[in-house]
Amino acid sequence: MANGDEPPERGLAAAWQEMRDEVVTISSREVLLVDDEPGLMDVLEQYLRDEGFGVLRAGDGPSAVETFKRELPVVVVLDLNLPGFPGTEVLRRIREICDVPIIMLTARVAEVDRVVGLELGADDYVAKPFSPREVVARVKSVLRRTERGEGSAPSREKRVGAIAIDVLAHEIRVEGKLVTLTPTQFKILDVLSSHVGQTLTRDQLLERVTSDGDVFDRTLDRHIANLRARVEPNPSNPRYIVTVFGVGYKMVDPS
Amino acid sequence: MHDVRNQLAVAVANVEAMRDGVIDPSRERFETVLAALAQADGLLHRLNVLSPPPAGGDASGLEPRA
Repeated sequence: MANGDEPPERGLAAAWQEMRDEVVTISSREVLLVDDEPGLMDVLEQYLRDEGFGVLRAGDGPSAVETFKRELPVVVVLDLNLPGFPGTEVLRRIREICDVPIIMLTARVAEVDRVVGLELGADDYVAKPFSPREVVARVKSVLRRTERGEGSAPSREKRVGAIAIDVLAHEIRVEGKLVTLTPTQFKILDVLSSHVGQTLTRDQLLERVTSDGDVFDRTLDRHIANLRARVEPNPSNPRYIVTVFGVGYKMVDPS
Repeated sequence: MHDVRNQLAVAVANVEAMRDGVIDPSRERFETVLAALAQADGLLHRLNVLSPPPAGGDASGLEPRA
């Protein structure tokens, strides 16, 4: 029996870890700071943390690229002048991977450097010496621009059958029609749709959905019922959000 | 010149952060600012020494080089 129990246990643990990882990626907004001056990074880090951002740091070109690939931050603040290889090379290598907003820091006022930085695909730049508040303002500004969808990556929409979920806009469409959800319903759908075909336990769902401190426990079934009423073609015979008796819920793609 | 701006950036950022209450003033923090300013000063001095004097005399106020 012990042998029979182990694989599903491990499967759920792995699913949960994967879900946690995804939650971290979606909800914590991490900024990667790349500069070789610790005295400057300490200060920028503190300003960004005070604004609710997570902060990753790298002090040279190679470790900047490596950290970027590993952590996938939402914004990169990048000095041009770095040990290892220069900021322009870091920028080029990150751009090979994705479209993340990049703000260049530069002490070289020569117009050429600025143009090159922007031509290489930087989203903005700040000239040194700068006010740290200015850098924070630019970070927020590029995030607002990308979250509005200007020049954003196409992967922000998830699709399960006829349900399309736009995570950033907090909108869903069922067969192309906009459907209104409460924030809790949206969270439940967001979590379930990230794990199509996997059963998530009530505890797993609750922990994810109540992470912001909402008062919400035994009402999970109620929220699921309301969610079904909005997205299921026939809520009394659900095809997308199915109950796994004694365990929890899972989302399936009926198509 | 960009190295001078780098050091000024360190000094300005630290002083602003203390003014804004984002970091607490500490001896270490002041040392960081002073070290950055000293480096900037050293770099400016080297730049002055190394650049040729302008035509019509040295306007930098420094002693002529031996």
